[in-house]
Amino acid sequence: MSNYIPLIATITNINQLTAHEKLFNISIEGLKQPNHQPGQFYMVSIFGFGEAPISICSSPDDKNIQLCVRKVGSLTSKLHSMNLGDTFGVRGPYGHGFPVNDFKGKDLLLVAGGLGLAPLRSFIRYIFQHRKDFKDFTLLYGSKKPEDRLFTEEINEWSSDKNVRFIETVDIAEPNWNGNIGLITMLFKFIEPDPKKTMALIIGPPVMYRFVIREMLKKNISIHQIYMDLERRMRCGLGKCGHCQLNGVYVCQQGPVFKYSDMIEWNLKEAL
Amino acid sequence: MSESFYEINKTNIKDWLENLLKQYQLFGPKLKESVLSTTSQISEFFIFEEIYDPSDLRLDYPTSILPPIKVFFPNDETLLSYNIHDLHQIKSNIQPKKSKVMMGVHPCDIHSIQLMDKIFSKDPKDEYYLSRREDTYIIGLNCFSPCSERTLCYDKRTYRADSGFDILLWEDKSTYIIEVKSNKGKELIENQSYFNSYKNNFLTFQKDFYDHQSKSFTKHLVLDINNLKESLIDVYNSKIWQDLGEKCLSCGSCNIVCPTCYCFDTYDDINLELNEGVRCRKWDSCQNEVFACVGSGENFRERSSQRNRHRIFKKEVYVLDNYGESGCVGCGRCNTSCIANISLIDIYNRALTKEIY
Repeated sequence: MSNYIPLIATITNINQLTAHEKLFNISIEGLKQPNHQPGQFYMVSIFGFGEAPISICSSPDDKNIQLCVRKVGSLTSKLHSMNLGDTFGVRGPYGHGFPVNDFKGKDLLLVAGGLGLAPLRSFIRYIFQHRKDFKDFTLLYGSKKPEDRLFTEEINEWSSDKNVRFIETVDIAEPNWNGNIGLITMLFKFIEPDPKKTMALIIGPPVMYRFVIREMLKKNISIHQIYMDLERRMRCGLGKCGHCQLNGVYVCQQGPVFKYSDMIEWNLKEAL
Repeated sequence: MSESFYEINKTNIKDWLENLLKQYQLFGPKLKESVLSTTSQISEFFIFEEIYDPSDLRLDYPTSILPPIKVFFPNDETLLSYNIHDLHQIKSNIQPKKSKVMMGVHPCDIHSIQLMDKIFSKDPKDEYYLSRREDTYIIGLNCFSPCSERTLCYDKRTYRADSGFDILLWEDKSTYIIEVKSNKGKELIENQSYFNSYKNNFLTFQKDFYDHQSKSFTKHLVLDINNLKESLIDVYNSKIWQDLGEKCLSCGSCNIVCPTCYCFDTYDDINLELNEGVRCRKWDSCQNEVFACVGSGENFRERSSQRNRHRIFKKEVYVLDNYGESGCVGCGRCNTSCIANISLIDIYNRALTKEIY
């Protein structure tokens, strides 16, 4: 049996999030309920165009499976041109997602930059759905500009929700922006995580990781309590094609989420 | 089964092949081209491909441009075929089982097939490779002397193979001694009059053969190869890689000819009417500049030095860690194919001696 034959997904809702990102609700043929873990991805397959890895941004406990897609190349442009009822293929879900169980009973510090909020949202929603399983919850979010912010309706809810401490910043903004301005690392001055109880997670553009890690280490969070979701080029999703390889690991299979101490132990020098 | 030994006269090989062709798809070495050099010497180049005419088979080949493994992992392989208007009818192109004989596989290539079997059998399995690989008979061919000065097979002990074949041929003047290793191998020689039981003492013959090998094959590494992995890890940040990056033209020839490279890219090809198409995979090279480039434009191995290091580390560290054996079988093809004259032997020696000149 070929691992490359996708399931058929039908678009059931489309929501334009920003000028470049759309949120698609899909229903997958033969799949009664979502079977992914937060942080896993699908290989999205459009025949005639090819395949690309897209993170699932809904929680497994949500009714709908959602994919947040930025328009960057020919496949994602094609996806953006699709309408309700249109179909495409999905293979997966693949990868090792967020370590949900390791985070249970702990304080959470989740840090997302840019499009990183999309995959992280699968976990954020899961946390809200299982809020009692987790202790203090801090969520930091950085965007380039106010108009790049994703899931703004949910952001508004998080901002006033006592179940989460949500703080955000933008790199640059017009004077009418009332929020923080500056790189995501500036938000660390607002928080005092308890290093004994905190599990931390970073997801964002490649350049962000080393700076955020440094802030976390300054707060005495140990390398065993920091996780990262790494983006790499996945072509097969099956640990063979080599494109996503990061030193000795295939990100599509062993990742995309890694524990910092494992990355050090496994000598993943190409990670950061 | 225990091994058994037979003999065949070289002149009867053709008859054997005729017989095999009746039942099996046959692959083996054949001449691709002869080139007359400026010094009036003729150089012959061989390919390992399907044999239709027994007289095409050339068991005297030194090595093949592309390794035999490519029979199981062909370039431009169709994975799926589809009509975009009916996604429920996507067809997988997994090959129906077809009995094949791989004739004249050298020990280094036997080692590579064994490694690739492990890699493609690892979950999630690659059914495309495995279906082509299934039901294959391997007839190995021992090397009496090295095929070139650019191989590492003696250092890597891959100039011999003890397993991974059904039959092994040992050249002995006008005959081949046939070591039958498996029941499958026995099937290939049954009921054919030109095979005679080997009457002499095989161990005596083998000892002479090995003695000759020890004289004709040479070590190219200046220090113990068992230190290679640790040595490479030690020089991860050294200037070796910059030097290579400056020489390397990122053409990817080294990967394409390698019997243990298996990276690939996938692409869609659709017809002019834009309804029927195929999804394919083609060999890809980690030396290719955009190999590790993601959609946002970030390139995780932007510099040639990083890509060169990745190739070497993949072979000698990552594959070794994951599969328990080196990802280089020492065949020397990369050294021969490199248009920038980069040699694995030099790289390994520099790493081993920590000679960071």
